[in-house]
Amino acid sequence: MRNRLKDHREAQGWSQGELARRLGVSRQTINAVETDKYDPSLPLALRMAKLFGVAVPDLFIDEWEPEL
Amino acid sequence: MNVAKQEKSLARRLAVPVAVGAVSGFAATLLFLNLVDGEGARSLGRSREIAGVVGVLYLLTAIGVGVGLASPRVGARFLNVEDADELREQRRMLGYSCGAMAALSGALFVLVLAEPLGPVAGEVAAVVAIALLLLANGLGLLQVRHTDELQRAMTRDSVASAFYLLFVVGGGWALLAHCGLVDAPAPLDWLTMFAVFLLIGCFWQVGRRGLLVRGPR
Repeated sequence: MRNRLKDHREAQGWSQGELARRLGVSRQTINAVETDKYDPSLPLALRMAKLFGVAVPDLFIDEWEPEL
Repeated sequence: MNVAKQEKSLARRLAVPVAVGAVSGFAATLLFLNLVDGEGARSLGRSREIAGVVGVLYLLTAIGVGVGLASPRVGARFLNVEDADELREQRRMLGYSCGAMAALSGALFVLVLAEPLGPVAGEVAAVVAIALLLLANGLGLLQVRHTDELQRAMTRDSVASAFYLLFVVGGGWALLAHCGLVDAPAPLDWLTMFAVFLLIGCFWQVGRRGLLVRGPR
């Protein structure tokens, strides 16, 4: 799933290590999320959104549309 | 950085770890096989040789991680990490992992050298191997305490892959043996399969997630 984590992180002027420390995960996890190699759990996605003061859909882009 | 430059840089980063792994793995395996099948030495048989080679692979991996922990700058050149700081940040988790792999390797080695073909008494081999396997499991549990959700997800997927591989290969082998078409797997073959499929499962999952080639920071 595509995401805007890197944009939000860089807007805050944080390194991957700094973001990892604030979220309590490894730098490897931040790197994997930013490069679309790992979709975080719902609790981690919520923490990320809370940290940047945005809604989860503003951070993670789901292109699925319900059938009418 | 454009895509071509980025790919070249990643290929260069992969070249050293792959070369180090291939050369050290080949050399250590050759050395082990020469030791157990050398002139004057009694042949240990195919099952024990394969178990020993798997033990060598675990030992080499443990040594590689151990070197990385002792000297993160050196380790960052051949381990699958972003930089030396990542090794420092994950020091405790990797330390437990290193110990667990060394213990598993030791268990395989002592079983390879057990009677009747090896010099170690059966009772001694059993006690030492059980103690080492318990140690490996204990260290594995401690390691989990220092992992985050990505690492836990990869562990779960690796164990699941190992189970499916064991079911297909070990189960298929047992099925054919049951039908009298091939020789049944020896008890040591099952232990070897548990160990090697776990290792393959780990590499498989790391590769499947694209984490063998780490993205730009």
